[in-house]
Amino acid sequence: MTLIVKNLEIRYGALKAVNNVNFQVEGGEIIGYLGPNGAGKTSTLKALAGILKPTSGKILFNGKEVWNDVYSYKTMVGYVPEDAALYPYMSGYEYLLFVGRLRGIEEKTLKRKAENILSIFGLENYMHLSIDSYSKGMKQKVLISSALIHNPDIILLDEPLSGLDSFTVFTMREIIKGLASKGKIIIYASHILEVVERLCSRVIIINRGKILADENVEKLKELRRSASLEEVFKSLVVERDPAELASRFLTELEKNEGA
Amino acid sequence: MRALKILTSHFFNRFFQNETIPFKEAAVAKVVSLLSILAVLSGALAYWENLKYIVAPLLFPYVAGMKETSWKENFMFLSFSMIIMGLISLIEWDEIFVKKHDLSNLSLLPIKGITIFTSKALSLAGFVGLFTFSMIIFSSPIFGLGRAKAYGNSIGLFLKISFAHGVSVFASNLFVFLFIMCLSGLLILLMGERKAEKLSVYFQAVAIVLFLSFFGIFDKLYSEVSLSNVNKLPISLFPPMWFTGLYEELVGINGEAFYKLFFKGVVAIVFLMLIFIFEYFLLYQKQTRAISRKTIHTAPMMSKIESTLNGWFFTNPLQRAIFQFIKTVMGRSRKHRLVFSLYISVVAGIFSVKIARLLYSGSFHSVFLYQFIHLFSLAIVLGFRMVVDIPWFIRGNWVFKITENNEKQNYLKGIKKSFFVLYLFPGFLVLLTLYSLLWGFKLAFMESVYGLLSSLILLELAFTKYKKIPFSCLTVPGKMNLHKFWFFYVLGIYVYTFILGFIGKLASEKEIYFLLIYFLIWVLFVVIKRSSLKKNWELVYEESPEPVVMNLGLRDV
Repeated sequence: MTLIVKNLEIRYGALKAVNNVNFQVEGGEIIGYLGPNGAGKTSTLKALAGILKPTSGKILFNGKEVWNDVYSYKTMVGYVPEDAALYPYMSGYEYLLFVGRLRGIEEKTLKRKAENILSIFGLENYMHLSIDSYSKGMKQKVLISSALIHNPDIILLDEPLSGLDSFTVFTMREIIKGLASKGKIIIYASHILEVVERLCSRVIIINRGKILADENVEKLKELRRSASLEEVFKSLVVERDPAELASRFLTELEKNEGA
Repeated sequence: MRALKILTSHFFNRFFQNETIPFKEAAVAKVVSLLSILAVLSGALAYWENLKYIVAPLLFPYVAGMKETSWKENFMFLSFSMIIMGLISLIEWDEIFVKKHDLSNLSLLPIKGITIFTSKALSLAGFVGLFTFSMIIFSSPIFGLGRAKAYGNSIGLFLKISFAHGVSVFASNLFVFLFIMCLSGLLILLMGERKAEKLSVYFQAVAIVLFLSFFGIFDKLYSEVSLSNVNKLPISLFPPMWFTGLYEELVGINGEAFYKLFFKGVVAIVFLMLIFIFEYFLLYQKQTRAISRKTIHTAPMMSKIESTLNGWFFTNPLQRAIFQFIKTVMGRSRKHRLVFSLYISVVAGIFSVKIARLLYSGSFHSVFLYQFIHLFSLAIVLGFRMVVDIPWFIRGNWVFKITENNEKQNYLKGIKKSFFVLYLFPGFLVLLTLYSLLWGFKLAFMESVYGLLSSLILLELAFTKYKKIPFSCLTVPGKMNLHKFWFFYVLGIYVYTFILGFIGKLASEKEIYFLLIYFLIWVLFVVIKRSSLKKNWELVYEESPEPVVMNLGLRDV
């Protein structure tokens, strides 16, 4: 399984959100997709999910341009968007049934899968309550479950661990590793660099729509002579000194206190 | 005391900030303008009714002869105010009782049950008082002036009559409000809060139409009531008459004739108050018990019918998803239910008014009864077509985008099948039952099948070029230009239903005609099916106005 992104460009009017992005992912790889806010991560993921048509460039899956038959391609993709809204008056279980039906899963299998997945995530006592009564973490669990219920080949995760408790974070990490070991393609976008460093075999760092680095984590650290991914990220992306910004912020707070 | 004040104000404000009346911004200004309109309307009605007493004495000195009938104006005014109060109460129907989620929040605070009850009762009284105040602010002085003129210009009489008018309007409004409150309480007690909430909108819509239909008998009432028959049936059973009794008792002019009616009014209010208190405490107990009990949430029981439907009627998972979505939105969104029920209730209102006259005259084979089947089918199809265009939760629609597939026909099939299962088929079963009582089963069945088949044609036409997922698309409003073309729409509906009804009546003479009609409808159905959307069309998630609509200003935005 191979996913190739060639000269990808996404424009919103005059703004170039993604500019000439190129990379290739093989089955079994977990790619960390990093960048500051507005770097173009979510736009790339949306294009890879088949919901945002690129302005130019190609996305090839197993050698075929995905936009030639985007509907068939979508059946192989599981996407966890950042801050996605779920229908509030459905229960978690109903939502999984709903998404599963939209995905074409047969009724018997779907019901069994929905119940079991929600139980694994510790939602067995809450699965029949409406989603609007859920905590952020519970909603995230439903969202992740809905993205994986059809057992997709390509998994796109945009800040998937946000709001989850530490135990579920550990479980999720193991699930992601397990999916990769089964040959799935996983693209993992996040701001939490520690998790990316532990989980991903390779990272792509993007800023202002352009790829700044695309390397194996260890090799990247070696090349940038950095001890951690955080230092690599700082050296490539961060243009202002965070320590200096923090000190200015604290001074400002004290000024207010004096006044 | 502080808790009572805060809670009363909270419950009172909720009358104006809820799902039905979403006055979130500038709520006070909106409520004041609503009350002003009501005050002016009531004042205008009072002025129009009392004009003859105010102006006529100047022109016609023999106006004293009108003394004996002047209570009729108050009777008419009370009928008007009770209808208006009834409509307002019906709109606020869901906010009348304390809800379970109120109690689960309040139970965490150190607030006594009696404080909750008192604050609720005060907020309800305040609500009735507020609307009564706007109804009497102009009308009471006008009534005072009119009647004082008729009986000699005395300030004492003016004040007395104004007061009597104000009190009788308040009492009549309180009666209507209590009556509707008790109905709402009964529904919740019988069905439970969740089920009652789901169904209440249909009760509300039908009751609103019934209340409005009272306006249609105003003139008849006015001409039929007289001092000699106020205590006779059926006039004496008409509630506005009881409060006219109160008015007359307070004024003291025709007191004797109205005593029994006055007594009925007082008894009715006391009786309803007792029922309300009883219902309130019963509900309170039920809800507190439900809160303190640890609830284990289990899967809602899926009926056997639903499982069977999912098995063989909705043959594809995508159709099942659309069915689930439509069922969820219509079951859980009050706004959607309200819009849909308005279509049904208009038809129900027309039917109930018309059928009473037909039953009275014994004409069971009037063209109207044949026409009504098609009016019902048109209303139900149009109502559904309109309601699917109202978005539900736009932010959740991304799920349709990421799961979109190439089997587009299944989205449409899902919509049509869901409509058939949820509304069309059950609707025609109800109609078949009603008509069987009138015509006998055989003819009722044949006419119902005819109506059902023609509804399928309408359904096909309504969704021929439909490229959306129901409730998921932001639509451009005003495309139908109702304000310009309403006459043609009404005419079209009348002509359509009349022709089909007339054909139905003709067919009822020979059964073989029905077979011919069924065959012709089937042919038409196939033709329309063939002209409907084929494969390879794009789903629309956000509708943009067509240039011609924009350029010619043919829409309201």
